[in-house]
Amino acid sequence: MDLWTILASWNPLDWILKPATDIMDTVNLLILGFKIVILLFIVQFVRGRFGGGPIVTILILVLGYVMLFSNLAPIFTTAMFIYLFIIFGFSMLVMDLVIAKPWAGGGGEEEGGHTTGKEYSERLAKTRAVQRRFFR
Amino acid sequence: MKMGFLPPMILLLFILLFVMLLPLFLAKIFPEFDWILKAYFSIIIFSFVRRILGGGIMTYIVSGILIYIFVFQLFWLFTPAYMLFLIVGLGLSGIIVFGLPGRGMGRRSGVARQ
Repeated sequence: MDLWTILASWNPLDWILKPATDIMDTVNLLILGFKIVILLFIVQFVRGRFGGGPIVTILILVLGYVMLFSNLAPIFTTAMFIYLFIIFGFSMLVMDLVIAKPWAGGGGEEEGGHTTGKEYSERLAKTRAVQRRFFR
Repeated sequence: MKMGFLPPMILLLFILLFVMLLPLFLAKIFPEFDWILKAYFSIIIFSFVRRILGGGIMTYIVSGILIYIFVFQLFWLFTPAYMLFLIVGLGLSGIIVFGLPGRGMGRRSGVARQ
């Protein structure tokens, strides 16, 4: 294939549209996987409360339809996503950040915080002077 | 000295990203590690589904679908997510957060030195 054929067949829109369609395929696949996982959580919840049997299976199907495929699905899936984040312990991460407050500052001189390089070299010079006087 | 909000958060994000992306790099470098990781994730997904659905044929079907989606199609997304889940779920995030410069361990050790 010569250069002219390559240039003639080059469509700039492909550079924009093809990755976008790829991303949408990935997102749709991810949503499908999450829907199956949420359905499993629903099954676990309903079986844990009501045991087995045909009525429970119907209840699972109804709940699965309402929570995953009806008009209310975005609300339920968002809530479920937040719930998953909480039970996986992300609230612990936020609490650690609030307790530790790493943005509140590393402490100043009045608080006895980090030692700067200049302070360290001055202190080292003083210590060496004392040592020289002592061991003379 | 005030650190500000952004530098510790960027550092935290950088550490988390490093830990999350490390298995992906290792899997890229060593193909054996890639297969071990995929087998491990498959076992985890299968045991998760079996715990909920029991040992029937539905377990194999659902876990097969989930393994195909998360382990083989979305491996690059599932591995960092699982590493983040490990860091947060096992409480290792506390070590990272309290190790950040600020009012964490770094400052306390600075006080103890003086």
